[in-house]
Amino acid sequence: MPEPDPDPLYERLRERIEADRGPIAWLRARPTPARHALLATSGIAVVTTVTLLTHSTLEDASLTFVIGLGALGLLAALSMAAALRPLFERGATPRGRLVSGAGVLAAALGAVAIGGTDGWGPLGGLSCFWVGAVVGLPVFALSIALDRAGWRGPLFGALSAGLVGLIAIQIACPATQLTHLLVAHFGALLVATLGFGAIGALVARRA
Amino acid sequence: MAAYVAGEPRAHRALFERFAPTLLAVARRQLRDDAEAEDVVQRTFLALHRARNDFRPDAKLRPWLFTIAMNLVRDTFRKRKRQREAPLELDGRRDPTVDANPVERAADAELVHRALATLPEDQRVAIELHWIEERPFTEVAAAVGASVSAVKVRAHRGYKKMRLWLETEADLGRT
Repeated sequence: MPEPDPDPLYERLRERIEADRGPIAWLRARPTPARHALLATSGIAVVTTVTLLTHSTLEDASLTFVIGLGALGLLAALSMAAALRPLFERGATPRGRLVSGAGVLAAALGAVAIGGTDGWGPLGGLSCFWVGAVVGLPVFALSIALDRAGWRGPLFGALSAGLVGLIAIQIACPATQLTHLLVAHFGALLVATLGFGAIGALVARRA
Repeated sequence: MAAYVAGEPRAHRALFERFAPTLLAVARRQLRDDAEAEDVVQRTFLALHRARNDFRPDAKLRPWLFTIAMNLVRDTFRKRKRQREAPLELDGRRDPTVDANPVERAADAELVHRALATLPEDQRVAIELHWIEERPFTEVAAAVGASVSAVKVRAHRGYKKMRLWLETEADLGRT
């Protein structure tokens, strides 16, 4: 079988590279530590904004609550790193992604539950559920913009957005009843991850 | 690579001419489809372009490129699987091709291909990169993201299975 002429192959590559311009291409070409820093900054900005617009529960927080919050922050950082993993590093298998995603969700569930010091009780308001489910949108959008491969990161981008939303409402919401924390707070994480993940899968399929 | 990162336009073409033929051969052998293999090579160099600011001057480029290409080959397999699951999907792929690698031009190339096809993916990739592409185990390990000893074990197990398969085929041919 004859070797293909490398010139047309190279010319098509040049066309693809020439088409890869604009602010998003510029963002994607930043070194990976800079992309991580940008995404982390967007997460911090979201949490700070929600806290400023509502109020912070950190002043009266118990040690276990702060530990849970720290664990959520660590999970968000890991998730962001996975969302932006460069293509020259071997990615996880689909099963690996599923297992690690499930592990993060289980750890988040534990981190939320340890703040439930008032036991089970009435559900309370659901406003933090809606806020937590959508407030991570800028983080998700930025993770898509910074993802170079176009198909590897969306699920972890969605998880990162959900975790940022969860951290924001954990800080802003004073409720300490398990029912409220599991349904309104952890539920927001699940809805954000699934919702943004579905959008990300559509974006990846069109890429 | 340093010249390419610095913006030297001819450096990119030089990199392409140096590495594209090998990557194309690897992708073809894995995918058995010319169009998909060419697409993988293009996407590999596009990914290299996007990641050029991540490249450290002391790093080796070849393992980078192999890892990107192998990730994209896996992605192509996943896409194929999804397309097979879709109903009434037309298969527009061309006929399987035979690679031009000297090893495979041997009389029993078809048998070797078939023996390789029986192996699990991790063993097949280890053997193809080490034996057919003649890459050292250190590079194979970097490309597949495993330790050198793990890659050696995979290759050893793969060779053992291939030998057994070829012996069985030879016995069947004699009877």
